[in-house]
Amino acid sequence: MSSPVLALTIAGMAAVTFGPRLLPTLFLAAASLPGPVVVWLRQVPPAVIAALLAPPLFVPDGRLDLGPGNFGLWLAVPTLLLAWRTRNFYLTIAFGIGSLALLRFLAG
Amino acid sequence: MRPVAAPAAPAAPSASASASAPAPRAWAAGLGQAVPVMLGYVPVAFAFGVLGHTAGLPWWASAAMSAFVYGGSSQFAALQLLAVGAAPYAVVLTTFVVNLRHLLLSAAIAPRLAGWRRREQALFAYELTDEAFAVHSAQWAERAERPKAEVFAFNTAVHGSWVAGTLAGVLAGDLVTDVEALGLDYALPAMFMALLAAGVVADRRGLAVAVLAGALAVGLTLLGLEYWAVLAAAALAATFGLALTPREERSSALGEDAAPAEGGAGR
Repeated sequence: MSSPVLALTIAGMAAVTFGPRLLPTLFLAAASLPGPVVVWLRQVPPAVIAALLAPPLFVPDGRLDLGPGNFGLWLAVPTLLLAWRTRNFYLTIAFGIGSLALLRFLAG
Repeated sequence: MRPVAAPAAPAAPSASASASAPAPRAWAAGLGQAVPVMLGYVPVAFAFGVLGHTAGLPWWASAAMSAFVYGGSSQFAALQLLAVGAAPYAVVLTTFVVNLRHLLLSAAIAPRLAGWRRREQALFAYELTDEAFAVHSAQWAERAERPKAEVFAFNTAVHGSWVAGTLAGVLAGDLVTDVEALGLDYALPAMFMALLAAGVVADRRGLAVAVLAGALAVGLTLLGLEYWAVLAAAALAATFGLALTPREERSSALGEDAAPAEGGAGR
């Protein structure tokens, strides 16, 4: 692909990404939304975060992996418990990163 | 509504205490919220830079993608397509599909930006990634009034780390690096877990919505629909959450946590 075509392709990628990010912000901000829509939108954060979180844990390499070697998945249990009990953002992240590094080190 | 870019002179005391906090403190707060995301972004952006270099992409193209597209999974998908010589329209179309879920994020966060200027809304939307959405919606659920400086400090730091990580990867080129040994690939999953536990899942209904969304996303991924997984799973699970909501709560419209952040355009 030549440089101008590549640049245009990237510009196109930027445009189709920015559009969906921008339009609801501009049009929904000024309007007052009906109740059910507000309630629906309020369910979006937990839904989106869970939908982002689960696939990499359960399907790390394109296949469902529930085996003991899937450290990330099993580590989610104590990490979630810790997050829930302490509500400490940084402690949770440090625990997750540190434990995974340790497990990988021990597993060689 | 407050004037935005007031010079350093103290502005007239305005509506809320938190929103009139001094700008340096607001920037520091935003940077503090950005750290876990940057920890997660830098290794991934680095990997993107390395892969781009390996795939023969000129350095400016990798950097431009990180600066202007700023969407992780879509950038990796584009890389794969460019490497096999796909047509430009296929790359753009794939990017559109992969990033379409941001429609949902933008809609969910829009009420918070009600009193903002158009260009501020546009700048915010430009940097609305999954992780930014997760952090902002959790922060806004805790404090409806957040200084804009805090919000933009977060976005700038996180976006900056994505671009810087990409450039570092391009420069490091063929060096094979093992980011996994440090466990840094767990920074973003752990952050999502912390956000879910710290209040994004506020009650049993939220828990049910999250569990359903996670299960649906895994199912769709297994079916090979990973580009649609987040969008479809989140939309379905949110609809399920709406169905679980009692009728009176549904019709009583704007609860306090969905009120416009600037207290302006309520109904």
